[in-house]
Amino acid sequence: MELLEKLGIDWRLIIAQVVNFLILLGILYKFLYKPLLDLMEKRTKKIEKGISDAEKIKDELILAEKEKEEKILAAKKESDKIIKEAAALAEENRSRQISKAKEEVQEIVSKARSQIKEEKEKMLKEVKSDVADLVYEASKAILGKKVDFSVDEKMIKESIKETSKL
Amino acid sequence: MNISLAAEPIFHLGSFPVTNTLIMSWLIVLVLIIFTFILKNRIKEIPTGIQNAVEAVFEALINFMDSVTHDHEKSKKFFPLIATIFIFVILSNWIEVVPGLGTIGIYEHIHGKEVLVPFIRSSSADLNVTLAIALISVIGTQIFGATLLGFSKHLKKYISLNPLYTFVGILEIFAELAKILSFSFRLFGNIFAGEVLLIVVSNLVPYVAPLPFLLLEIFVGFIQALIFSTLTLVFLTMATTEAAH
Repeated sequence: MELLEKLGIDWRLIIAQVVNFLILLGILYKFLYKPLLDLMEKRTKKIEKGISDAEKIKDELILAEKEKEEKILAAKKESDKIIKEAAALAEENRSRQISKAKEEVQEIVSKARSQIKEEKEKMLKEVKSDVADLVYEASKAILGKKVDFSVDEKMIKESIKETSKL
Repeated sequence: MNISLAAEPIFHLGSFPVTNTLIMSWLIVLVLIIFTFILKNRIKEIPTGIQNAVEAVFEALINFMDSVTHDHEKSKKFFPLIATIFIFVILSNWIEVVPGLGTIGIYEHIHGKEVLVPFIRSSSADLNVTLAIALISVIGTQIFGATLLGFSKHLKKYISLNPLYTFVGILEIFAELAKILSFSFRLFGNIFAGEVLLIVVSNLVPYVAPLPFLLLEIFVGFIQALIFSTLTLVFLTMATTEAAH
């Protein structure tokens, strides 16, 4: 007991100190540890989520970029194809048009030719008859009198034949 | 120069002695509570200023605890007790480096002599304080052991029908009592010795010479607080782990 007194041990003081400490513990727990630790934990989770989200977004971005490039490439291919097709179509159209035009020209030309030929024949016929008449009149005029037609007919015909040979 | 092993009462409330160490403890508790209430309203998701510093200390402490318990959930459960012990002990230890240690006080007649009773005395340089914290540490260990492990399992450590384990159990009970003594005397011895050292050196050479001792005492105060809380943590971890037998 004397030792305890010398060391200053007093149960009332011990209890006072224990109460002191427990009050401190309680208040610190309620107002400092709990809110702050919860907050820190929440923040850690938030940051972790943010980082993983950023990673995900980055991956998605790369994927989207790839897709975009693929699409552009496909579109380019498509457009190339369309242009080629259009060119081929135009070429075909042109050649068809040209051949059609040629045909038409041919037709027109041949029509013109036949017409010309016809005209010419008609003209020749007319000329022939005109010539016969003319010759007849001329020979009548030259001979002065009307000759016996039957005698002369032979001669006339011969002369006509000769002229038509011209 | 008067060096007393026991804390000196400044005044009495009835028969209850209000010692200088008790006043210091009240002061520490008061300062911490005021600090807490100031900080409480400033806690923000994005930390600034003091909150940053407190978070850094908490983070370091809980990481250190993780390295002992190997279980973050357990660390979180033990954190309030360990952190409070650490903060309280380190602040009571550091009171001894406050200027005015052992010199500012009132003269009282004790045993017919007029002696100076200093106002400032480390709370840890009083066995009542260290015993109180040691009791809380050991009893806290028992409570955590009983709640986390289950009461019957916890009790089996001390009481068993098997005679061999009964003997082990008795040893365990003595170990718990020894813990209280070792906890309290270790802290008391270190801080009391430091205080005596500082008082003596300051009396011999008042200028410059106490400086290295002050730095040393700051270090000792930190180490003792760390030892106290770490040992408590180790005992807590042991108490909440399944017994090997």
